[in-house]
Amino acid sequence: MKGWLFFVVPRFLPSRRRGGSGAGMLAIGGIAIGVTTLIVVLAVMNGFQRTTIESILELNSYHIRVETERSLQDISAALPELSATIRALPGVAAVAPVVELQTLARGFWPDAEGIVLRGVPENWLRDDTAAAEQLDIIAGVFDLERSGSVVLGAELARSMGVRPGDTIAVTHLPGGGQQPREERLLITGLFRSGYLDFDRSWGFISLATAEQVLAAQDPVVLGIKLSQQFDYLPVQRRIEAAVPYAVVSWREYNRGIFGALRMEKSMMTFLMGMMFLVVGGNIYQMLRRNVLERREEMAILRALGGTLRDVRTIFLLQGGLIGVVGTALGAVIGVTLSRRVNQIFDTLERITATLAGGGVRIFSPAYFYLTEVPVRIIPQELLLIMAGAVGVALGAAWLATLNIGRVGVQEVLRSE
Amino acid sequence: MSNSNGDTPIITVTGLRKSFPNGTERLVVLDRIDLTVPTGGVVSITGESGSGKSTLLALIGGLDTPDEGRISVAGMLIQGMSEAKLNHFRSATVGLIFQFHYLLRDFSALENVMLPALMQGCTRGAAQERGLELLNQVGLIERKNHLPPQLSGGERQRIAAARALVNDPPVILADEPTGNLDEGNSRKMEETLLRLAQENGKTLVIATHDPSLAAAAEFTYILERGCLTSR
Repeated sequence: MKGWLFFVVPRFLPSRRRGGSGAGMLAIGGIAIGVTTLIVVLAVMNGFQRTTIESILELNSYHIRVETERSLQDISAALPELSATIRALPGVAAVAPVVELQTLARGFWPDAEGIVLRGVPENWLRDDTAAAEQLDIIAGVFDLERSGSVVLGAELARSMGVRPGDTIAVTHLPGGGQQPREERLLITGLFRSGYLDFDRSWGFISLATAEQVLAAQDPVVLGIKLSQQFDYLPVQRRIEAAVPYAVVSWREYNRGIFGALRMEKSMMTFLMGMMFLVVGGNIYQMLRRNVLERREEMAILRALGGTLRDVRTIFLLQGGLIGVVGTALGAVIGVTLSRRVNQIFDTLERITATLAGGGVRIFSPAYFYLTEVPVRIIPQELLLIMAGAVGVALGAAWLATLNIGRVGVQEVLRSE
Repeated sequence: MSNSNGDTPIITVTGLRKSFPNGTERLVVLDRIDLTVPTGGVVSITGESGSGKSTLLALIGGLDTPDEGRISVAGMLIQGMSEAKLNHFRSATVGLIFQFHYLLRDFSALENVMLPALMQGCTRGAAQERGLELLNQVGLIERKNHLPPQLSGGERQRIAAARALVNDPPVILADEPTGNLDEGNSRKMEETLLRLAQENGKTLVIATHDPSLAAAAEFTYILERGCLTSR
């Protein structure tokens, strides 16, 4: 690029003209607001989605599932060797056999609720540290060693009116038969997973309780955690070669919900991105006005030896400058807001408390299943937003320069 | 019509024709003009308003294209030049001064003078040095930081003259350089132009109504009904 263009661009900025300063600031402000909004919305959305995805992956689907389709009774003798075989494969971090029982349960209240009891090894949380991190034991302990003990979801316990030390009556069909039977399980702890569905319908029991107390005939699944969850394909192939059962990755197992989450995010990005159309239109109008106002000066530049391309480049650089300044501003504000969103809400709540005497919870745990807003900024996404914003500014500038040069230099100078 | 005094011609115009659309017809402004300007000569072209003086200068300066004919300046044939070559020609071979100063409003006097040098690839330091030297020559060094709206009409034209010389082009084309000036400023501009041309060894072609300026030239032509005649 020719050096003299950088000499001209700052002197050709719209701000040098009457009313141009406001228009320039408006254009920069528009880009900044667009970038800020998109960064904050996507960061919060990523945060929410990550919470959901991690809960699902760490507690429900695992990274890879080996579906044995055999009951505990049938496979329990082979389980240690099977688990050891899989655990020895490269990339595997933890293996846990799991059975899932659909039952009815009653607590303090007479009404029965449908709950899912997940039978897991007693030492499950010691082996699977990621699951341990995901489960927040809010009362009691995660102790399944005693036969007939259960750790319940906090919301489930609340709706059943029970707490650690109480018992619940579980109605089940022993051995998959036709005759229901009721067993009492002792609550040793309550958990929160960050995922409401799990917290209001799940309970954990030991495999021994599942087999001996509830006589479960449900198929055993081996839940496998990987050291690199996204690099699952080679491990999946190794497991498929090592065991005679169906092997399902987290991506296949959760296709429905992850697809819905992706669609939700794509739509949100698209809709929020629409504001860049307005911003682009604003930049276009401002630069178009600048182009028209500087018709004579462009002719002078060309008369002095500048090419049509040089003159267009001046306005493209202006668009680029607006885009870069606005984007940088928006990125700084957006990242700062995202990182401090919880402090900002706290401050707002304190202000409303002071003003109104009562205060308003913006993200009240009573309505939203969270105590703070989860935020996650993905660097690649941030770069994409920034590139998109600068691209919009450049595109608008390019459109604004399309008609430059339709009239010859001499015609312009003669008419002036 | 041609001028020949035995010196090497720097501008040679042969059979130049230019017309403009006029309703359904075309208005012929220049009708097969011939002109030869010797190197270092000072030539004036007079004629009524609309006679085609500005058009002739625009064609010689490569700002417009003729319908027919050939224009050669400093050994270069303008017709058929690529846009890049034409831009270089306008920047390096001819210096243009217009009836209206056509200074850039948001540039200081010095920046206006520097700009063509920067466009030629000069460093900022060298362009500034050359600009200051020329502002000194036109007597406006103390006005170097003033913007055009802060200058008088005569001062603006003198700065435009300095700008035309910044790349040291062999030819200066001045289109009604005193056309917008009062008598006092016109004489000052006339003196500046002729002195600059002489001091810097330039060929000067002036299109003018101004009898005093026309008379100061070595060769004077009259453009009338599309034809150029020597006075």
